[in-house]
Amino acid sequence: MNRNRLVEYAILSIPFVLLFVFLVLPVASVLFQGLVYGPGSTFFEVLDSVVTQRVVSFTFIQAIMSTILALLLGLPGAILFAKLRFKGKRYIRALLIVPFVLPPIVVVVGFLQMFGSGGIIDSLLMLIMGSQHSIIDFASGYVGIILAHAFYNIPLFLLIVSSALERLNPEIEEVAEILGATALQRFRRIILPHIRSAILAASILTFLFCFMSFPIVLALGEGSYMTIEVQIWNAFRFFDYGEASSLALIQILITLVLAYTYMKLGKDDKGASGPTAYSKTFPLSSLDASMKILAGVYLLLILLLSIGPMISIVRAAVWDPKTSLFSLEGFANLGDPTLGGGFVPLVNSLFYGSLATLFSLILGTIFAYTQRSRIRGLPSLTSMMVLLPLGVSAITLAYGLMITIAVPLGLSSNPWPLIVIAQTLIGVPFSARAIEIAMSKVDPALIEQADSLGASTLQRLFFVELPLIAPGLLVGAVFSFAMAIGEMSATIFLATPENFTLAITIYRDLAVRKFIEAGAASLLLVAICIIAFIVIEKFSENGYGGTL
Amino acid sequence: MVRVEINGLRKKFPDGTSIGPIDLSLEDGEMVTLLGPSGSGKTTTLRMVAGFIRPDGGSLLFDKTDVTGVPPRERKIGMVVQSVALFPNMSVFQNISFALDVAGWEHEASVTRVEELSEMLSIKNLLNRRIDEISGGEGQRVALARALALDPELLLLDEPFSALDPQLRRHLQGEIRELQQKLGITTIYVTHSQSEAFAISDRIAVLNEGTIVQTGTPNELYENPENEFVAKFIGGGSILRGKVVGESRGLLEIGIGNATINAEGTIAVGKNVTLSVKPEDITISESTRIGVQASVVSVTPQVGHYRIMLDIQGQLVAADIPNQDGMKYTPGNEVLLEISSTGVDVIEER
Ligand SMILES: Nc1ncnc2c1ncn2[C@@H]1O[C@H](COP(=O)(O)OP(=O)(O)OP(=O)(O)O)[C@@H](O)[C@H]1O
Ligand SMILES: [Mg+2]
Repeated sequence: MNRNRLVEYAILSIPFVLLFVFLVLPVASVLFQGLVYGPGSTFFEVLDSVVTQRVVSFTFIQAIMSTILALLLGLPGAILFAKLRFKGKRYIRALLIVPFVLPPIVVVVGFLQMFGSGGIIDSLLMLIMGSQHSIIDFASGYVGIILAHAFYNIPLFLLIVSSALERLNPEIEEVAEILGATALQRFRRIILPHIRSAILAASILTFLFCFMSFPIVLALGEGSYMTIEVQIWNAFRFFDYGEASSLALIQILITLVLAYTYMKLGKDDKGASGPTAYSKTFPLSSLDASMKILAGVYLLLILLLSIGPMISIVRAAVWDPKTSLFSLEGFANLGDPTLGGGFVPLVNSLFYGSLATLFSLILGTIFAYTQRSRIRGLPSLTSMMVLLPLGVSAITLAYGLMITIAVPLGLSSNPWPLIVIAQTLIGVPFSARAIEIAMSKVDPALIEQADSLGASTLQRLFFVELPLIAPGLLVGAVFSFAMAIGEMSATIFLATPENFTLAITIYRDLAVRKFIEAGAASLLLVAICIIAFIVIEKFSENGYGGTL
Repeated sequence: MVRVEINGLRKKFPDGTSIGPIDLSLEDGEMVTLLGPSGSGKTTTLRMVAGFIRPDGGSLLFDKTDVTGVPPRERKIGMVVQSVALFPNMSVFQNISFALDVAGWEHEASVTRVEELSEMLSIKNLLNRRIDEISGGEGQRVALARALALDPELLLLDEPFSALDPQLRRHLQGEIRELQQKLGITTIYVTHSQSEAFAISDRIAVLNEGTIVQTGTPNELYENPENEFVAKFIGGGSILRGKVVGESRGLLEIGIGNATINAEGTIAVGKNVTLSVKPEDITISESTRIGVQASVVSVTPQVGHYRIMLDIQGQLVAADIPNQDGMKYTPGNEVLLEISSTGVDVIEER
């Protein structure tokens, strides 16, 4: 083996080593310490406890219900967008997908403002009914959690299922039609089987996100509804490391099974896509009146649920419910550099987010590269590693980073590097995927040319491929950045007050009823995410569907 | 079965491509081929007949009744589409019985019918396979069985064999023609291969740039081409598809896969072209090392010469070789061809 090769292998192994040190090791040591000699409850005590059983069953039930709701609301949309053409479809579809990149805590603010007591709908109803008291509150407790989770995950169904539908060879449906199948029969016997694995994939992802959900449950659950993740956080706060580790282990086992199923699904998706000369869509006018009304009602409902909360954030930013007055105080707070003001968190958010983006891009690029390596086993090891951050509890990871890195290195009083590490890890699955997609589109002839010029693999990577995959890098960067600034779980665990980010500030402001401050900060985050989204939309040629 | 009358059907796509007006009628039990180069509107015509494309004008009569407003599934049509489009989530049996199932047949009756069809198409041993476990040729038979399940009155076949190798293709052509005559089913067959059209049709309608330029029996077209396109496209020669790759000494160099054929003409480099090569203009070279590589597919004795079918890069051409030379070759031989550049007609594809 010559020296170049050695250097190459060394570089390729960097992300694996980093992920091992900063993800696998910390999580493993949390589990080990908690289970084996940690203070607090033992694994069996935890399993046996009524609280655990309640928490686990709530986690499951809310995740199942959220998934079903997201499926019911997303599926018609996916079909509608794949099959119908109408004016403004592109924009409506894009708008409906934005929620996916919003930080969870911002979603909470939007939900409170739209559906909560004293929110927009409630105020309207009170006005109409002439009532002094709040009439509805869909933004708290069980209902609030499930609605917010559905809001968050409808885009997954829209994206994944509609892209599967678009891959169905239209001639297959036509053959079924000419063989006598009615529209319903075609749906049941041809379309549904074709999109089944896409539906399953979207469902598993949704379930996974809801299963591990933290900020939404923390904020809307009002302490009485807790997912495993929230309970892990509580256990840490009360120093019951045994309970925290036990719960984390239960959670990891479940998510591993789900993640494994998800990866399996990706592999056996084949068959129905064929060479298609045209993709078949129908104009809205081809529907009969009742279908048209149904489609219209659906679009309105889904826009209300998806876009309502985003727009409401504007009201949240300028309307102070304590004084019932419009004010710009929230924005003034963002410029306040004193402790408790919004300026430091804003700077922190941008600083940590930028660093995390940079690192996750570097890791993502190397991962995208090893994903295509010819070395046996490396591609599948890569896809496993890349998905790992999605399946690990952020709270557990944060605690692991604390005990394996911060404490030994004396970082606990200002652990900002750990925050960056946690945020980096969360962005890796997205950046790696975006870059890999871009790489797979690069013309292999160009790369061969570089080979024949004598460039080594690495030079080739940096001078030939990187410029070619620049759009993919940009998409990956923007995705990572959106994930990083929205991250709250690990960050809230690690941060001391001087490390607070905007997401944390919003959560704390909500808790002490500083609504307008929370609103203004949320609006800023929404603006950043929308800009990010526009960039993603613009630069991912075949849509961002593949990025998931 | 059914008499089909296509009167002035036409369609203009939003991008400006316009197909038609198409006029064509089929007698009961007749097999008519739509023959034309790629993009000439064959599939579009077929899809208008099937009802998947709503024509902008004209009428379509089945036994004198206008079916323009009848949805595809009520037209009693069997169709094999260009992409074959077997249902990937079903077995071969389920594919064939699909039409019977949605028509509400009893299970027993379905089984009997599927067995009958699979017997007829010799695919009985495949019935339990998944569709990714059968070959291309078998897939075509399954698609045909599926189309025939409900005894349609009109059969539409869109280049059903274009993806198959020449031998299998000719074998299936023969089979399909036999089957069609046995069942007496009115059939529209689409192909861009002149030899295929000649092999199986009662009549051929030649399409070019969206309109039918001549309709007639193979003989009529061969003897009395009404315009240059038909003359060149039919002209007795084999049709090859290639691309202009260069020019030298006043001749075009046309690439057919890795092989190059010279021809006279002025067409820009890079254009896709259709070539017609007459059988008498091909000789098999004995001594030279230069020439077009080909392999012998079949050798058939005819009056005064042997008709030798040759495979050039997957495309089939016929050569007529005088008796004393022709008998030397057997299928499988690798040979070098000399093709006289004056005998090659070139048409630019649009
Ligand atoms: N839905 C469509 N929208 C716009 N143009 C179309 C559409 N369908 C077909 N066309 C155009 O109409 C012309 C005829 O297409 P058609 O598919 O009928 O050709 P064909 O003769 O079947 O060709 P091939 O041998 O390649 O299958 C082509 O130029 C094609 O690009
Ligand atoms: Mg066609």
